[in-house]
Amino acid sequence: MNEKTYKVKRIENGTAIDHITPGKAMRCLRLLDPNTDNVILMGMNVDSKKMGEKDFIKIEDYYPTKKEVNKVSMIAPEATINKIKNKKVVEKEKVTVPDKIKGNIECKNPKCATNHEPHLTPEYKTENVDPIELRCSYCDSVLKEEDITKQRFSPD
Amino acid sequence: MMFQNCISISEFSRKDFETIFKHAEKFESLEKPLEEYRGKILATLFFEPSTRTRLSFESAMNRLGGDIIGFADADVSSAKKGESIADTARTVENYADIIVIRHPIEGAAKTAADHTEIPVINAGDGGHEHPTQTLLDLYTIKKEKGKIDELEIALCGDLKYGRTVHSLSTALNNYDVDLKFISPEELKFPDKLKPKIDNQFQEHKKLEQALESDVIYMTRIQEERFKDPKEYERVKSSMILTEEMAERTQGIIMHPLPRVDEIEYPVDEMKNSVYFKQAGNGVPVRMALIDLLLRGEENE
Repeated sequence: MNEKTYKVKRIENGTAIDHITPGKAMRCLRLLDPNTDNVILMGMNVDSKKMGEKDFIKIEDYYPTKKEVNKVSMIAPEATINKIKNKKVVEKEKVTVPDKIKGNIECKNPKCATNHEPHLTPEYKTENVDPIELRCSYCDSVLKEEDITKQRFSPD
Repeated sequence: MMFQNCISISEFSRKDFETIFKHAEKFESLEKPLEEYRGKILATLFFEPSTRTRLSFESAMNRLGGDIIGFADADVSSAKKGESIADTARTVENYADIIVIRHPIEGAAKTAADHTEIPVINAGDGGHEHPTQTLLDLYTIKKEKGKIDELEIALCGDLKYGRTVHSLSTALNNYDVDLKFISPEELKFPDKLKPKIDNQFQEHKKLEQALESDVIYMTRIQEERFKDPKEYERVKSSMILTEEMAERTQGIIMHPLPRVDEIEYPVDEMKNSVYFKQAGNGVPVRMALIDLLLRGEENE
């Protein structure tokens, strides 16, 4: 048996996130907000026809919100989100990185207005997709992947 | 662009610069205040100290014929009571026709502009932007040299932290110039900003290399950037424009001011030292900007 052949149980209902950039599954999981008792299956650096190697995550009884999908796209721009109901894929979506992102990511610059004015919603322009680079519309700081993944997001 | 606010220099095109400069030139010979400015009020909200910027905005509005309200010290404003920038801007909107704001928070001017209907001018938001300084720098080059294209411009001194050189070098993308970045190793132009420079540039460590340029733009080396005072002394002394050096150059000598000792005092009297004129150009340029913003015209 090939070292990287794998067998993972099918999930009945939930989400399978496939084609995650190899090595990024843990980071992607940090961006999602499943309950602590959801079954989570993860594969890292497994063979992929399309990508050579890939990661994947399967989460039972959990469907990510649009904002969570957007966040995954920043870490894994090739990812596909498969919604599964009764063991069948009912919806398949390739993630896309939005040109503009509003809210939910804190600017890393402690002097940025968004970290001082409580009612302000941070806004970013996507400067680069892979690797991700977001430019803050208020202070022009550029956020990279590590700046995004180290934040703990609210689920909305 | 539509002259609505002035938050970042990157919002301006070459055509916008030319419109502002033409307007500024006209205002240089304005003999008496304009009738239409009677009753118009400019609010200067200076949460941080400033000499040139605030006074030249006030002088600009006075010369146009308008009035000024405002404060020059955050301690006397409601910010001390914890009022947000947005609330301050919303309040002041009821008292004035246009706002000029300087604030230590980066993005403060955009925040004010997002929460008001009246034009907002950024007079410096922390280490981020100070667009009107760049406007008057470009205007000075144009006025003194008759053009900006095809010039060699040497930016000297603290190129790492100097906000004015970062803005000026990117604004010059609108023109065809050759740039020289001249700084000690410790204060080199940041690598992360280099991809944003469209013009050709060279990097040098000796101020001598600037003497053949058409424009020598000096900046202050700030002591607080150095951990070791001896290191500061060494670096500082390598970037002093002496009287002897100034005599050997045909280039104009600029400086955003305040100067510490990077330009020797006798240089002030030389024909090619233009830094005090440069500070003076802040008035017509800011008159032009205020006027264009209050008219809110589309620059097509």
